[in-house]
Amino acid sequence: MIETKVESEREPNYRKFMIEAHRRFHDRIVADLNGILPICNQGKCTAADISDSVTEQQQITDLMQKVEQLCTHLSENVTDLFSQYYRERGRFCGAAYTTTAEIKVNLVDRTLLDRSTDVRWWSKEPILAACVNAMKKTGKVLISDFEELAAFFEGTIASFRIPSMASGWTSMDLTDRVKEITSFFPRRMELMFDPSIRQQFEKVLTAFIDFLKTGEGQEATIKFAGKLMTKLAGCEKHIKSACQQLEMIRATYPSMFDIIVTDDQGIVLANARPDRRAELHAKDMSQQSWCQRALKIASNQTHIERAVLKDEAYSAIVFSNAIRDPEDRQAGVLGTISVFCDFQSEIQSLLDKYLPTEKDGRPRDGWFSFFTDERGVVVCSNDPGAILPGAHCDLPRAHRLLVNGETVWSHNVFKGRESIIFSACSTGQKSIGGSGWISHLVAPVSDIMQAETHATRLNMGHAEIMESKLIPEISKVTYAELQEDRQAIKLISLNGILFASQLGKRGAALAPVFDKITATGDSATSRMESLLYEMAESEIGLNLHLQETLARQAVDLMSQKIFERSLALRLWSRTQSLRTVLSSPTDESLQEVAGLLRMINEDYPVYRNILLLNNRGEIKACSKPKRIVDYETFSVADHLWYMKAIRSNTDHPTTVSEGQVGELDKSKFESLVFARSIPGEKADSSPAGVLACLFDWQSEATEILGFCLPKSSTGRPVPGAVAFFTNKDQRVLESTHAATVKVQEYIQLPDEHFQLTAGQTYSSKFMLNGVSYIAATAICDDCKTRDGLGWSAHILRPLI
Amino acid sequence: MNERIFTFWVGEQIYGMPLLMVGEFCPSMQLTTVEVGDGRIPSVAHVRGTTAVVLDMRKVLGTTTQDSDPTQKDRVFILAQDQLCEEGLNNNLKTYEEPIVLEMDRLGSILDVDLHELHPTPSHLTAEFYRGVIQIQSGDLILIDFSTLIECLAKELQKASG
Repeated sequence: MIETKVESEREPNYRKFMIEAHRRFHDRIVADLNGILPICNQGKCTAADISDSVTEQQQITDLMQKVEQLCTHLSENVTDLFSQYYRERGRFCGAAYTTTAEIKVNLVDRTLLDRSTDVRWWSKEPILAACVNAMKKTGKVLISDFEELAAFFEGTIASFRIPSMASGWTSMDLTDRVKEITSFFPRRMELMFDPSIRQQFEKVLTAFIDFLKTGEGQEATIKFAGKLMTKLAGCEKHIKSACQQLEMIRATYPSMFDIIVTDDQGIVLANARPDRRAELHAKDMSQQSWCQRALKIASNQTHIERAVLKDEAYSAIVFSNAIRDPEDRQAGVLGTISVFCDFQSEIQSLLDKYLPTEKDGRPRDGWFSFFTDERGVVVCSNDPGAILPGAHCDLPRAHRLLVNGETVWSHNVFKGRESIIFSACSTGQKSIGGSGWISHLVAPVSDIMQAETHATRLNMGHAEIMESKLIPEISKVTYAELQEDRQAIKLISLNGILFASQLGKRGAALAPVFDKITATGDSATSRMESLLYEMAESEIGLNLHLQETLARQAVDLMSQKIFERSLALRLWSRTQSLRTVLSSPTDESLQEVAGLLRMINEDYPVYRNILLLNNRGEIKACSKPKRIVDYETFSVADHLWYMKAIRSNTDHPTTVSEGQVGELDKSKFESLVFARSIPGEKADSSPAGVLACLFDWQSEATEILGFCLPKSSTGRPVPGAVAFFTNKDQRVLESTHAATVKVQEYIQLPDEHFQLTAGQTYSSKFMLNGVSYIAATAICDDCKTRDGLGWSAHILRPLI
Repeated sequence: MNERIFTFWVGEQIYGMPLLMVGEFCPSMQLTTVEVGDGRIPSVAHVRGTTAVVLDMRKVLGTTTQDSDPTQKDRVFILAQDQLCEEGLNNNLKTYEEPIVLEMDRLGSILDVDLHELHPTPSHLTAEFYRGVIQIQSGDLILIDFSTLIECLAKELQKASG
């Protein structure tokens, strides 16, 4: 992963971002300080009036000059202070929002990776291979079959010329009937694909056969015609099964436009959408790049591209894969499967996520989130009306030419509004190298630089705020300088008043000068001090908000992962071979199923094991038998996850449960159990068993947590920050820093952190091992996983 | 009768002394640590060619609150009796025969107080050097009689040395 952080070289003029209150504040302080200068001049003049002593005059003039210098210094300081504030705010938001952009694109990459694995798995579905094989075989022999049938018919016509044959038909009648039948021969594809044409053909051929049965010596013709009809009926049956399978997949993943299966010539054999079947079936797709690429692809890869569909509002993302012979996967390609995903709808919620919203729930005006591909073409956007998928987007070159892992943010005018654009290229997934897409997040400058920050609920004193690590170092330096200047002005004033007092009546004229200096100095410095506190509080508020967002992102990433996995299981549980082996297990069929589970596990290495259990809770097959203790006799009938799964039906969501697998799995690692009932042979029969997957979530969690650690303005994780997941019982499941937050132990965060409802976030001050932290918590959105795991993500950031 | 005083903070309490006995308000000065066996005199200061004993007012006044950062302390140079200005002498101010530096937590401001409003010192403040208490905006200001304070200190030091 390249960790280069590119920052805008063009340093903007931060003065123009100042909010009105700050501008007024700045102007007032500067005016106050400038007001001291004439007072100092007055003091110098008074010195000459009240004393003839050169030493005394010099003492007064020195004091006045010191005041002048200090005022100039303070005036410069106050201007710098605002610049620093806005610059730091820009940098901080730059780091924070590019992380959001990074998280989005990496989440999309994960979705792409998961989906391409799914498509690879679907391509192995025997029903599809059988359909392609049958159609291929039939298609190959159909022409010669027609020729042969035609030859049979010639013989039949000849034989009917023999007068001995008892029939009312003349050879002329026969010729007409044969012509009618052979007129279907050129419509070979329609006969294979269109059930109505096939039925018409079958009708005339059956009538002809019935007539031939009345004659003699026509057995061979009748037999051949019968075989041909069976072949054509077989085509229809295979297409129907394949279409049903594809429909089932599409029902599980509703965001798909369609799924298309072609043979190795690119002819569409089956699809998932019934309404498009008549139009698509037998259509030649060989010129489509997704079809061509799928035919050439290696067995462990999935081709991904964007395709425009004429009937759809938005372009689709196509995942295509080769269908190979299940008996010999190294053999040539039988056909292709291409899954057309409505990616725009699928990730609309992701695109809208983490964007501030209006009261009606819509993203705030001027905020955009979208992805572009390596050519700068928009793949999908949160506002397709403004940023059209499939079109080029007007972005600066630096934002279009990022490579894996790079990020950039800069100030630009976007859609007529001064904005900050945060962009991040995907870091690349282990196996596929990433989509190479770039995630862009656009925010109006006013919302970033001029956002109102509310007083934090951390209840921190001013001194504590100024000591906080959340405050930029430069603000602390300014604060210290301010204190020194304040002290210096005070001393000058005190000594000035002392001097005037010592002069007795002569010094009376000086007293108002020093009083005024004291008052103005005090007011200017205390104003600056309160501004510094306000800025510091705003920094802390911003930090809290972003830390909560990071926690939310962590929990969202994890629940997305869990959700995706539970969907896959829903499909697998409907595999016919699993149902069959549970109803009538034989050694051979169990071996076959174990092989199938092994194959799934190879494609989805996130599972520690995949188990097939019968309705008594006994393990009948698994992908990794060596990991099971007492494989032959072990029963999970009393395990909660099994009981929940066996009682569920196909409409219920997949059961996802924690733990209870220690005795099952020899490893010390924790797993989540995804379990789903396998329907019985008949629709109304009880479940035949359960398919369970032990999900190795820890390695996923480690990666996610590491990614969601708060980062400094340099883009590096903040030292001492810790991210961790807990379950409902406040037990730590995974942590980025086990020495600080120990895994398996219970963490004593304030109660409010564990009283959140789905999708809520909370933050507070928290002491752990003598270190003060800001703790931000987000709970997973149960609507998505629908299982109520209730996990939370927590981000701790050292405060002092 | 009005008197111009300077105020300073020791812990949470504000104290006051006549302004005209001050030579200079100067937080930074060259200090040399001395070992006199009494924590109230931690060092001597060198101010414009003069050496002056430093009195730690926290210890002198017996404050129990948490000590502040030594680098952040404020110091006031108190003139010797013969250095007092004419105004000071006219006001019958009494200091000491040598200049003295007072070290305190924080300097306050300069106030004109009406001595008619001076109340007797509360009974729990038993030291002789308290002149009385005046109510000001930031609380009860305790006025200190500097010469009495020095006398008390000198007596105690003599007693301690036997």
